[in-house]
Amino acid sequence: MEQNGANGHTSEMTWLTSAKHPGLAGFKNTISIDQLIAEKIGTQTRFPSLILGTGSESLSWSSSGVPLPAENSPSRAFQQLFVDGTPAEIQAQVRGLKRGRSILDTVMGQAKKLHGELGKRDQEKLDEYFSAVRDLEGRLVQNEEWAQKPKPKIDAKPPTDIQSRTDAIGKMKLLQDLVVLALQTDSTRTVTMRLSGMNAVPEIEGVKNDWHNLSHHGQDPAKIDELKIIEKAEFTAFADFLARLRATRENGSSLLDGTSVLFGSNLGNASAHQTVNLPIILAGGGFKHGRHIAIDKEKHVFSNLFVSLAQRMGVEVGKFGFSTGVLDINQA
Amino acid sequence: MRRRILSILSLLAVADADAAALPAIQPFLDQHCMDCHDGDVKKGDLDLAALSTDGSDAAALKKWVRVFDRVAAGEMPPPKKKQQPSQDAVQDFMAALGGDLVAKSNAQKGTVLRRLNRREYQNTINDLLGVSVNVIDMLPEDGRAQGFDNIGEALSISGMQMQRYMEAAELAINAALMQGAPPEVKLERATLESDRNKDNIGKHWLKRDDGAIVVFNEGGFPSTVIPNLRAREAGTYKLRVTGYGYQIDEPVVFAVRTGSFNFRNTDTVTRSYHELPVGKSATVEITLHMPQYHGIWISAQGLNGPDGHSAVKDGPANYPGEGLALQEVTLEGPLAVDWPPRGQKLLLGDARPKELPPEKPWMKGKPGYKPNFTAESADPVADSRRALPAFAAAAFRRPVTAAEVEPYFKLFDTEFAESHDFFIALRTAAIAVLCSPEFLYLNEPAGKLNDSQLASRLGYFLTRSAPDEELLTAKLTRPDVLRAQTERLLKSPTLERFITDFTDGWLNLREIEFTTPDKQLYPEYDGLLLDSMLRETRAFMTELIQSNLSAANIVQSDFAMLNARLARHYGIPGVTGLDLRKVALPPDSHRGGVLTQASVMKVSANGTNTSPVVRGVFVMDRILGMEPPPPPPGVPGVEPDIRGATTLRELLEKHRSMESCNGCHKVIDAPGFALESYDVIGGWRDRFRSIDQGDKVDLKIEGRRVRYRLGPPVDATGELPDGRTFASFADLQKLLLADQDRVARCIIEKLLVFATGRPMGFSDRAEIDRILTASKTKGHSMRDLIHAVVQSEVFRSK
Repeated sequence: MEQNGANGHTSEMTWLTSAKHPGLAGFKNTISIDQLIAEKIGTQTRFPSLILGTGSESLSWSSSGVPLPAENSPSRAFQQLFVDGTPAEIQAQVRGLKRGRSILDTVMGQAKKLHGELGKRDQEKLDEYFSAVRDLEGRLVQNEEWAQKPKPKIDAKPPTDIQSRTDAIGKMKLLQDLVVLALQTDSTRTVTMRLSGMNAVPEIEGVKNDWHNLSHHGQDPAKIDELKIIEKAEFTAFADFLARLRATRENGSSLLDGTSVLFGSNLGNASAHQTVNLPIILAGGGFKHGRHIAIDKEKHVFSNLFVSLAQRMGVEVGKFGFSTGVLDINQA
Repeated sequence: MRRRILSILSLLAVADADAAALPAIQPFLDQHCMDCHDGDVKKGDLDLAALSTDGSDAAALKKWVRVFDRVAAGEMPPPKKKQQPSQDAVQDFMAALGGDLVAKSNAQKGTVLRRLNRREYQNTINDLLGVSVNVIDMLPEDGRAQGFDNIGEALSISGMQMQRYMEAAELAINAALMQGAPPEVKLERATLESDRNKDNIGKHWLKRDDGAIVVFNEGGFPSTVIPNLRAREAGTYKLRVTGYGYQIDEPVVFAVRTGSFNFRNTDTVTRSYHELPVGKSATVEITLHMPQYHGIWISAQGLNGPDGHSAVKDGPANYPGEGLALQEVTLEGPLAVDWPPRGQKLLLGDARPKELPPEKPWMKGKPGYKPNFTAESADPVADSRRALPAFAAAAFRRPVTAAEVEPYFKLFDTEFAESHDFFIALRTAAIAVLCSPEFLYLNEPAGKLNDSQLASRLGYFLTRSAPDEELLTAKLTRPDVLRAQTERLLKSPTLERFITDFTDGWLNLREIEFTTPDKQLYPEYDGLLLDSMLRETRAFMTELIQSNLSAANIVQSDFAMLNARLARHYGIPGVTGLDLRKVALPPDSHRGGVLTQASVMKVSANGTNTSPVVRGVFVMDRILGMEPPPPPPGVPGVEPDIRGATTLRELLEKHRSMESCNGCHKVIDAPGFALESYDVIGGWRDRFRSIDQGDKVDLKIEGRRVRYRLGPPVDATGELPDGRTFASFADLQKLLLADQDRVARCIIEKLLVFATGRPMGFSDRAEIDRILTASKTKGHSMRDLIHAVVQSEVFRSK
């Protein structure tokens, strides 16, 4: 209920941040759970986190509660993850990174001078600028360190981006393939991936209507049937992804066992824009599986699960968002 | 074992402690409010005992304002309660709470350090450098508040965004500097005839004796992208399309689309719609900006033919269907712009960049080859000291001090020492200027704004970009000068930017494509209608401002801005052509005013059905300036049912019969009920369309029989909270017109929010009242109203 917001879709912003009443007066978003984890353990890998999506928006929010854009081109992400530049290119890249840091040094100095001249609320706003510059500086330093090290060698061919706007499932699959490769090579340990619906007819056999319209099915059985086709296609692709994670071995166990996978939606009954009873799947991670757990809403809120997931990642948190405790799935 | 986390959101939906109130009002609260609004009962989710009185708690402040308003309106304590406060007690209560709210709101209200949003950023960087790059798509979407995306509080920044700013600045600076001579203007001619099309002619298309190629399709397959016609470089071009309508009764309509057309057309954009007359050749001329190497697709719209026939089956010569005869398409440009670009003059003075030879000689002249440039300097340090202060002053929209530019000198020196390249070092320093907070943010100190701060405020308000030279040097703190400059900007072509950004934010028009109308229910919907409806609303606002018409026209007008497509949609005879013009509305046209415009009706509906609640909220918030409170937690929305048996109104009745819901819904729903007469694309309806139950319809649209049915009749009757009733939307318009001050007040507030980049607070009410009173003496004329907004204290101070 804390996810009731300015309109039926605003809970998109808070699915992983667990901030209250998105979009209403006084709302300020907070860091998403993946970024909180990445802040703590992200320096151990080439990429602190991967933020992917089929559109330009992502699930991830920075420590200042600012939305982070999604990478939606699998080929570009592949390039960054696995393709080494020529020595000349690496040199130019390092040069560019150094130049970027010099620019940031300069503007940071300017911002500090400005800070002293501002009122309190303006200072708070400028603090976001400071965090942005510091974040980016950190990224550039990390990039520079890794720039000299060769990227992991893999057999997979670079993906070709899907140009069609409406091939939602194809895009989902390409991104998932990339996630498997990224996890397998330990290029990162936190990933978010946002699959956006669309106001168009998705390229799925048997679907003839605009996806968003189908979700506003108004109880029309024909629309509900078509919606089922789309959801089945999504779940089939998701199952393939889990199967690939399971088939990939590392240190004698499957990659899936070492990866907690959370899959779900920000809306329960979407036709009425309800933000309760969210459909959520938790896979992998060595949990006790094969059960449907109806969580007692008096005892637990969604973010209680995030606390337990973060703890499993070795991140010491006692509370996240408006969590009321820790939801240990194996005990639930 | 390493652990990882992966979260996937699948949008299947696409779809503290007790704070005592102020001592002065506590007795009143105890006596009249606490029965229902204490911690136990919490009626309407309001617990006054626990409601924070901390002025920085925006959500709590908003609730206190609502408490004030509801007591002021006599709605609370509820009139049916026996024990009512005396007039004096209410007055004292309002004075005490009002005074406190003014103080708290004053402490919070100044515009927060406002980052340029991505539109403003793009306008600014293009104006500053004299280029026309598209960087909007590189930047993340901006946060919004109160519908607008230029509100300081809601505009944030992340590390990734900072990186994009660096990239965008480099792109724009390169666009200005990487050219050594003015672009050569060329006129290129083309027809559909080409190697690629030789098999299509005679099979899909007809070649006529006059040389015209007649196409019978929209141009997906076979493609009607004009062969061998590309913009050689980015710039503004004149496109001329010559042809005529073939075997058609009405002028033939075509869309101009541009894109790289390399693959599967992901970057294809529909630019505009035009028409050519029947049977006799004519030329349409269009001026448009083209990205480099983009081409032109002439896409005929809505061509029909008799059932059972096709150009391929009959042979193009025998096919009796409608066609577009294309004779010639020419592209001329890039049209002369000021050269050298302003950015080059600012950074290089009289020196011009020199083209470097390509890495390998054969690369030159190949398509896609981008030459590299350099600029030399006899005295790099001295040249940087000349260039950077001028550049920084232009970028920061104000004079700069020596101390302020010193860090950029240092950056130049470091980069020059590293690269020994003047051009590279200068570009680096210039990128830094464009990434500094002084460029990215509009910084206003507390209190009255000075001349250059006013210049920025006015520039971004009315031109959506940095102030021009004239504005920057004007004594805007003088009211007469401020007025004269406002008048100048209202007459400038850049007003179009204001109209678009303001109107789109105010009426939420950016979301117009959030849903696509269901094809079965709304077969008449097409791209031309969408394009026309957006232009209608913008043209309407332009007309109100340019002709200085009353804000009352927002609710009801005796004219509309129409073209043939809209006139057909609205059932208004006698309008031809695709250009919008002012049309006097016949009686009983069901049109007139913003709320009868298709764009507004579309954006307040989804693709299949309308909701009186959603539209009611839209009217309250955007037309009447009353923000309805959100539904209390735990109340599910009403689920529409479009099978045709029940209307949403019937479903809503259950909801409204509950007292706790009806408190708000009797206010919200009324305008929504009246608007039920307009369907999801703004067409007039007497009965709801349904997909399942109802009567069949004997009607053909674009040659195809419609498949929707006609369900239950529309009930557009209702009652306002004050008891006045209406039988139709036209009735409601009369009731709203009786209270046109409210409409004027709303538009004044929206203009103030947009102009200042901050929400209006409780303490702004007095100044808004003053503007309203002044505006009333002039009949709430829109142009005067904008002047009053600019002259107000709210606009002239932070």
